[in-house]
Amino acid sequence: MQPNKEILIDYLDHQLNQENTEQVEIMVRNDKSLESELQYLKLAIDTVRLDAINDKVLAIRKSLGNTHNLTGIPSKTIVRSMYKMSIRAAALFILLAGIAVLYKYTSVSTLSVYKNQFTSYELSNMRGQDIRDTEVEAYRNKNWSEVLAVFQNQDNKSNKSVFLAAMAEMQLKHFPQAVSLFEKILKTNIKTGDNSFQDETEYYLSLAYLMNHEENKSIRILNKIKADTSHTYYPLVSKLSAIDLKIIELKK
Amino acid sequence: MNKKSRFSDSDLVEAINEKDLLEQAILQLYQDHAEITRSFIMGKGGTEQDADDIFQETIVSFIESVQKGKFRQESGIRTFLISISKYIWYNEIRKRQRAGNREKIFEMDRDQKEEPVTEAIIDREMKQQLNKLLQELGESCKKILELFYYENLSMKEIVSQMHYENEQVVRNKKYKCLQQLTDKMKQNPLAAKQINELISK
Repeated sequence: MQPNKEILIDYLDHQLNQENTEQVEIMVRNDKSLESELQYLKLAIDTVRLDAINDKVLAIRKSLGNTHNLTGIPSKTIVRSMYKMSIRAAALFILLAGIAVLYKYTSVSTLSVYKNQFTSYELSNMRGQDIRDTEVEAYRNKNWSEVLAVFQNQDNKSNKSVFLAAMAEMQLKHFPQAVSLFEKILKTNIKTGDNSFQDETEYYLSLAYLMNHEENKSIRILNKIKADTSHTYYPLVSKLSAIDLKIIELKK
Repeated sequence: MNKKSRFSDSDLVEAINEKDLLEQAILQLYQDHAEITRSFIMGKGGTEQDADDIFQETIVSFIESVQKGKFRQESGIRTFLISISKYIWYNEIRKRQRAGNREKIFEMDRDQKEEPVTEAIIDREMKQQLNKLLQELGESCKKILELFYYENLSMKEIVSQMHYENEQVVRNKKYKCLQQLTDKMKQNPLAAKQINELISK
């Protein structure tokens, strides 16, 4: 750097003593290039100061913007609102879950399960003119009293005859009688080693137990069927939820 | 002057000249005058961003005017700020060459009374160009110059703040930085024109 320029800078920075200051002023007055240099230096210093002011104003502008957006009331309101909304959503969820549980608990009953599970037993086409056919005919005609009357007059009661009689009792809502007849079939099968009407009997006996206030026995049979995919009534029983069975157990 | 109280117009002018009160003064300028100035700019076709930028530039120009003793309080601060904003905004429109809009706006204000615009905001274009030259110097140069010429720190304080070896190193660095800036300015036609005008008076 030329010595004169350094002196000019020192002059502008008030680093010169009185004597040197006056000398510089004289030199500048008499030298246009030096005067020009001094004016450029002043302009440079002005530019520096202006930039610093601009930075300061910009910082305040940003802080005002940040205060409004990040830490001001609107943001707090949003945060608080989100918090409240979350709490409300959780409370609503708990409430709805509670209502659902309560609804489930009150809506599930032995009767509701029975209604959902019970379907009329349909006889396949069987031909014959004997007394058993009379029972079958009565059953097909849904003449439940006639089914029972014919059943009572039989001398040799097959599992099929007993089963149709039990189903007639079910249709007439004579559940204790139905239970008795179904149990008879199971005992006979145990004795004879036969499986005639075994699956049908188990399934409808479980439903008869339900309506006969013997829920534990019912659930035991239903769980057995659920565990046996080869059981004729597995497709029907597998749709029955464990929760429903538990509710029935709790309610008994 | 109480640091926490609000300034009257005359106190605000004093505060701008006091290093410790400048930030508070700027804050009050924003609180008291930003909205009306923004409304004016946006009413004249500016966007929200334009309005914010113009008001920032207005504040800088106002502070510069005050610190250079060119604001004589013949008008209120608000009137003065709006005048500066108008000037800057029209200047900006001209710069953007939005001919249709510009002519419409100037037509609209042609008959209005001339507002007191300080010469501190004249040569806006040149100032913007010079500011770019300053940014080209790099952060350390800019920092040393600002600490010395704006913050009025001593060489010793700058050594401490910027972790230089000693005061002489800082002094040499400052000389070089200032010299670099003036060298760049000499290449700028607008700056050269202004300097020539000054020395030929």
